[in-house]
Amino acid sequence: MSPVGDDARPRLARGVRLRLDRITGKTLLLRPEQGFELRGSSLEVVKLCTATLTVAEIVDHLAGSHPDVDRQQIASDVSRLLGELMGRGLITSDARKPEST
Amino acid sequence: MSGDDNATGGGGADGGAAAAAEAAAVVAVVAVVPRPYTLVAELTYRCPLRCAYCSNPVQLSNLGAELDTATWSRVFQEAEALGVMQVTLTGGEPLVRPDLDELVAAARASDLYTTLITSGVPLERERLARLRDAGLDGVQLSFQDSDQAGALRVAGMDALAEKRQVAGWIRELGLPLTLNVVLHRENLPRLPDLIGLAEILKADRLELAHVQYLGWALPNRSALLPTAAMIAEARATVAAARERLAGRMEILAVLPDYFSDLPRACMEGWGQKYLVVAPDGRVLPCHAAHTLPGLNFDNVTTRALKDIWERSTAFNRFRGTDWMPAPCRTCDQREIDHGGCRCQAYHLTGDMTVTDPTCRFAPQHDLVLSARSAPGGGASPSPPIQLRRPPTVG
Repeated sequence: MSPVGDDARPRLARGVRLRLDRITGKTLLLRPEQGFELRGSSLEVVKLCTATLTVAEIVDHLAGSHPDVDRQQIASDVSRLLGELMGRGLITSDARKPEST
Repeated sequence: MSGDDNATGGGGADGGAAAAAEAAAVVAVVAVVPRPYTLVAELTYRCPLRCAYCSNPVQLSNLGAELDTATWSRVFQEAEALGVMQVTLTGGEPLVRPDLDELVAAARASDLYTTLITSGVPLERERLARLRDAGLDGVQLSFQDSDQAGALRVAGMDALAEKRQVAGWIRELGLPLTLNVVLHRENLPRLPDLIGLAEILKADRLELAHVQYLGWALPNRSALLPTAAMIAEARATVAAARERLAGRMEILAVLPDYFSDLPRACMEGWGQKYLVVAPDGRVLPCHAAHTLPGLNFDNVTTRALKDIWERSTAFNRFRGTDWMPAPCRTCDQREIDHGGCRCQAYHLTGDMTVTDPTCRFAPQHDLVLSARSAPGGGASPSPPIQLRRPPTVG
């Protein structure tokens, strides 16, 4: 089962921020007293979690920049990663459309 | 504290074989000196509370001067350059520092993830808003008890109503809220209420940490140490709450090492991941290291932080495994628990180089067994509690 629907708009949870580790060159998600290293393509996904894109749009984005990878594969990877990050409370989502400005 | 949660997450594979080989070579060179991730900035030992389990040193007569704003700012920069990414502003009570806004701003200017660890008193909403605007990333708010009389008894002050109000402000201002409760024999019966309180206050995380018997807690051990049955019940309560609150509130629980028969990996190892800077500028591997005899801890006012971390005698004293006594030296846990807590070893046995007596293999494990077999004697009335004496600023 997928904990996050295609129309959800994921974003970093309250108090979570991205930070480059200048020593290793890796990027971490930081929250109070904890740090989580983002490996491989997970950073690419997290950077798209801005509360403006739906999960489906994130997958479209990634499919566009990785034409060599099967879209179904991308969709399942994104779903699994978001599920893990949401389970840890690092990412949250809002199914409603953001207020238009 | 809850170091095992500082894990790495995320998926995906890393780069190719060439990159891996290069990375391995770099690690081999760097591994000699570990890298600090967290700076614990003890801004002051002053505090309006008088908790009977305070981790500050019992001898506070020589409080001395506190580092000024400019020096702390420099410490933040030096720490960041060393690899530190998180700073916890703690004490004592950091709110007694009138320059706290500036310190938060300085920490953020160094791009450190900045968490305030506070009792919430004395605080007004406007000041909290200023701290947020200065860049504060998160707040860890302590609750001593869910019961006013209990809080008064163990902390010499009941500020329950104020704390609830502060928790509300933290939420309103959009800051992540961690509730911290130190557990002991007196408040353990109210653990369900304490978890309920965290739910009502909509905490993002609840940190439940049993008293560690150092500092003021050691002379109060007979009053604070729970029974094995109480620990077992607390475990079950926490497990049930975790299941019920999954996805809503994270619960971190630190079990008391007195009942685990294995030592905790204190600070994830001496001089491995944490840097503590005491109010007077002394640099320590843990909050209580300056209670150990014969170790000369350098001060940030006279030596560069990098030099202290990498080269000082005190920071290298208990790194690695060469210093270890038997049975640690040949134990398969030696890289995991690092022989336990040096301060606990010293304060229980008088020798800081022996195996932490909480370990079942420690020659002096009977010191812990006898303490836990008769906590408070199970008698009523409960043993008296000695509150922390208010420090005098000299």
